[in-house]
Amino acid sequence: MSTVSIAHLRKTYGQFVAVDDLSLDIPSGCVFGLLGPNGSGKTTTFKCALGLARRDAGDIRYDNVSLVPQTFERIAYVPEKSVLFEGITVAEHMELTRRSFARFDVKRCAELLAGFGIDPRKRVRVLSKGMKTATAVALAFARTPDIMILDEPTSGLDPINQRVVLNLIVEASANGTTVVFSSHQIGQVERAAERIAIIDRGTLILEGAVDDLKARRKIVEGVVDEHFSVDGFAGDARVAYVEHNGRIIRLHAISNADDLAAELSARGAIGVRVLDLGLEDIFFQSVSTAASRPEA
Amino acid sequence: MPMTFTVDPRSGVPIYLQLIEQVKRAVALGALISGEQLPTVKQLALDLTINPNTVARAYRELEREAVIDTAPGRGSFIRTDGAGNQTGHAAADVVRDVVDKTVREAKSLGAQRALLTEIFQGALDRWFPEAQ
Amino acid sequence: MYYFEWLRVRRVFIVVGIVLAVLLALNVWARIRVNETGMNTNWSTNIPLSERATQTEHKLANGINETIIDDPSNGLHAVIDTNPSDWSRSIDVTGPKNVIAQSEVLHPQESIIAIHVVSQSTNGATQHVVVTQRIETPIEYLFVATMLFALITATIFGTAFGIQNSGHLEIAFTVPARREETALRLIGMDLLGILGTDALVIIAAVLAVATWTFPHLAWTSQSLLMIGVALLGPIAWYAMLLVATASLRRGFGVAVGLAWPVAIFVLVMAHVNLGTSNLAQSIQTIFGAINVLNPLEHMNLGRTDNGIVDTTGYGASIVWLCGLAIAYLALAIAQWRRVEA
Repeated sequence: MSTVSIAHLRKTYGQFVAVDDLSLDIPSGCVFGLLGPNGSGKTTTFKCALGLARRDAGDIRYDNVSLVPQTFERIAYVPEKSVLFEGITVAEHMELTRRSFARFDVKRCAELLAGFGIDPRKRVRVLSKGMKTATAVALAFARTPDIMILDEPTSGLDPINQRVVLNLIVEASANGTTVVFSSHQIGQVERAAERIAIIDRGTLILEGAVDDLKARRKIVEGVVDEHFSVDGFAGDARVAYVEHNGRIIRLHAISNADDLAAELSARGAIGVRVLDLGLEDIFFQSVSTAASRPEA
Repeated sequence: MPMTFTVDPRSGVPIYLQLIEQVKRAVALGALISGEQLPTVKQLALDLTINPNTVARAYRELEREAVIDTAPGRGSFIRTDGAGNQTGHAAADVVRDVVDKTVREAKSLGAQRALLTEIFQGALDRWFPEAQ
Repeated sequence: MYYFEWLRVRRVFIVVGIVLAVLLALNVWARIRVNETGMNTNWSTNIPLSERATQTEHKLANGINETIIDDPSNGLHAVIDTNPSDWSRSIDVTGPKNVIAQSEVLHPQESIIAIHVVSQSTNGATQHVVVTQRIETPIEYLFVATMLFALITATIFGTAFGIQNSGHLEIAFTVPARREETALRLIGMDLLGILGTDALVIIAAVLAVATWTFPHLAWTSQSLLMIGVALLGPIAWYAMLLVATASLRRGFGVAVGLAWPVAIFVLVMAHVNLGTSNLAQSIQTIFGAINVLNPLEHMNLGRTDNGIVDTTGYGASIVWLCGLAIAYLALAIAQWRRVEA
């Protein structure tokens, strides 16, 4: 069991509210993708969850227990920016990690580094951004942690190494590790994540299983005449919002798209079809919905 | 493993549904025969770089629909009982989905029932000439 | 985390080792130059001899090397007994007064090789001199050099928390250890670095002395206290720098660099005579109060009171330095554990 639970998290920096009443429950063994625009509070959420930043309010629990130093034997964190020491070598980082964590597997780390093509004798200073990310990833995965918090674990990596990292996540998950990760590459989240949350300006906008969201979130499109009234759909709980441009009407459905399609047909729309949405579409749908009603 | 799957994670169709559809189609077409073993959840997840729980969900669904059998510790296999029936059953599922989608779209385009009947009859005549 | 600090300590040890090796090499060179330019420890050659002089050497039954010199041209007769165990020499020179007066042996200079005249007497025409090469180095002299080196390394280690703050807390604070524990391990490593520097410099200093004479280190009643001051001073200085930089994410290097001129300024303002005006007096009082917290104030190894060595102050200095070190370290840890990444 390795659950992560964030309840009513709030974090402010002066006047700026970075995270506001954010609650997330991450089940054991789940790969959880955290999506959001830049500055939406993803990194702050991670930092609060790890006690690296002090929260103003809220509760963080791992397996229903508050964070204590010993919890870190089980949690690995790969931060967004490199936090490696520039002046020392990759091998020295391995030694540093080995001395800090009883479960660190030096041999596995060496294999992972070799897989990324990183020479352990090199100083961190001479590594590219992507190789620094890969080094941090290798150090984290070689600890075989129960919980991994990965902030942009593929940033700066080429497509091949991105896939290597994704497969490491998949493999860890298959072995029961709980993985929370953020990425701007929605396609990666779509592959690796079972559940996702979208946050924007520090608040939770959408949360759920990727496949369920895809099954529920659709666009119902039809062609109507000029006198068609959208009133019936505008307040409908099944509809996030309605686009009505001239003769084309598009209902952004949150659920029951097929019923909506039938109703739209019944009300005289022709060419009614249900469009599937990828996660990227769902992301933009959610974020732009949030942006269009800032006072809500 | 002779059978390879492909999924399009970017598609709006849930990945587990894509997998279910592919297994059913493979069974319907005889690409997977009864008793044949499917990759393990972990193996397929790694092969496709998709979430293992998503694969497990597809397998659970396939088991519920009696397409496969999962024996703990041994793996998942295409069901052996009444393989012929099973294949027909799986094929019917695939066909039903396609036809249903087609009819819905035709209706929304304003096609009448009579027109659809005529079109379907024509298609049947062309592909099953011996029934005439 | 402490492993990273150990890497820093190791690097400092290497640099200190190189510097000391260079200084030792210069010392050896100086020693050789001294030999070549005739500052001689072979005393017999300092007696003016003519070409007719004869010199015979033999070993006595008790292990003493005896050299007998006869110079018939000026009637000089010298017997030099050298004890090989401590290089002490008993020299008897007999001859005309003018010859004896010229022989340097009777006027050995005090020098860094410090030939020490134990006794000197005249018996008729014979001058009897006992000299020894044994010199005693007050042990605290070595620790003056030690303290200077240790202060430099302490300054380097003073940035320990600042370095962690500048983007590495994600490593330091996500280990299965309390932050206080991590801080103490880090500090422990730095203390090892400072005390290790002390040890390296002491070894080098003893070696340097040994190139000139056998190092006889002399202890006085004050030695232990002075050594205590020399060892604790850099630690208190390090602790003060840690407090100054414990919550800085950047600019900690500048802060540590500025600590020197600021501390020296405070020290000077507290002690220099500013005059007798009320303003001057109050400024002096303020600086005096601040200066009590300045580790440099308590690192005076040459306490004199009107030219007489003041031996009462070292105990108080040690108490102050200990107190400051502990208080500063506690403050630094309290600050650092609250730093946000």
